[in-house]
Amino acid sequence: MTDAHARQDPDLDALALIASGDTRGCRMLSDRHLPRLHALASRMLSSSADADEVCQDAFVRAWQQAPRWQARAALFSTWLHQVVLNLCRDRLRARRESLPLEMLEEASHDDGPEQAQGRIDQSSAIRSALASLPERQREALLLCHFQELSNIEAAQVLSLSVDALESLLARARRGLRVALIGGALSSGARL
Amino acid sequence: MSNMSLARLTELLDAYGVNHLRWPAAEREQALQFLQSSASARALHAQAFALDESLDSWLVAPPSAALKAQIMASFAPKSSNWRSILAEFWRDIGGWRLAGPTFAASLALGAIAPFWLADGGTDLPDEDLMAAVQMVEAFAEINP
Repeated sequence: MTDAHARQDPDLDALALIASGDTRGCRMLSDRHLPRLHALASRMLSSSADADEVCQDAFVRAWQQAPRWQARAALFSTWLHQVVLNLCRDRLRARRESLPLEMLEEASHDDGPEQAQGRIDQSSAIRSALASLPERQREALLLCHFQELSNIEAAQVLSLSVDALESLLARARRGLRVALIGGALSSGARL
Repeated sequence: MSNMSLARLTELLDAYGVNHLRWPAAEREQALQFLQSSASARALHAQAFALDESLDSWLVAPPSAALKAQIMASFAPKSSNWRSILAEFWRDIGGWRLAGPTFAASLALGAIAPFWLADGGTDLPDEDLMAAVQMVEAFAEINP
């Protein structure tokens, strides 16, 4: 499996360019991964500003890692996800007591005012429901649902077996359903 | 022959949701075939749809152009000027860690050279050579 992954890692070309000091490699890597990594950090931290800082930090590490990177079982994108996840965990630990609900800019700017408000309400409900889950369940759901990592990649990021990941995911979705139904009932809305 | 069962499909829906692209690659095809052939499976699939829809509604702002620019600016490629090349070479060969052993070797050479030169540099006594080597080794041990 190691060789197969090494052949399939789509980032090896970008890493080789970065290692030779070519900024085109950096552009390739950031174009491919920044949007997804930023979305992960935004959802983990509920703050675009914090997500910006995490991504800057993660890419500085990527530039440093590139010349040393050797094709291995895990893809480079899996390593990047691990870096972002660890940076987010550090920040969450530092501000454990409060999760700011400040991401009003999340709504699509193409929507009309009513649709935008509806999306903000729904996003807010999902965010609150996810925040109520245990950390590992939340991370598993973010990686598999929003980051669209395969079960094997998500398990590698979380250092779990695929079976354990599946169990975490099932519990996460169950907990989320309960939390969302509870929220919908208390607000009088329909899930 | 499909190995997929209603129980396993339920597990897949519980863990990964309704989008078959999120299902494990090894079971995806069988699960899709099972969905087509079983009304009970389709009913389960429909029930699981609402949660995925709710999750998909959570949008976040994309990264700004300013962030992309900052990230690009954070890349410091290897410099090609001679100072950087020398500094890199110095680091590669061990940097200041080599200073101790180099100093010890110089001392030893200084101790040996007079004997060597006095004898025409041809037949250095073995005990002197051994003493010099031991001195270098001892110095290298305390100055790794």
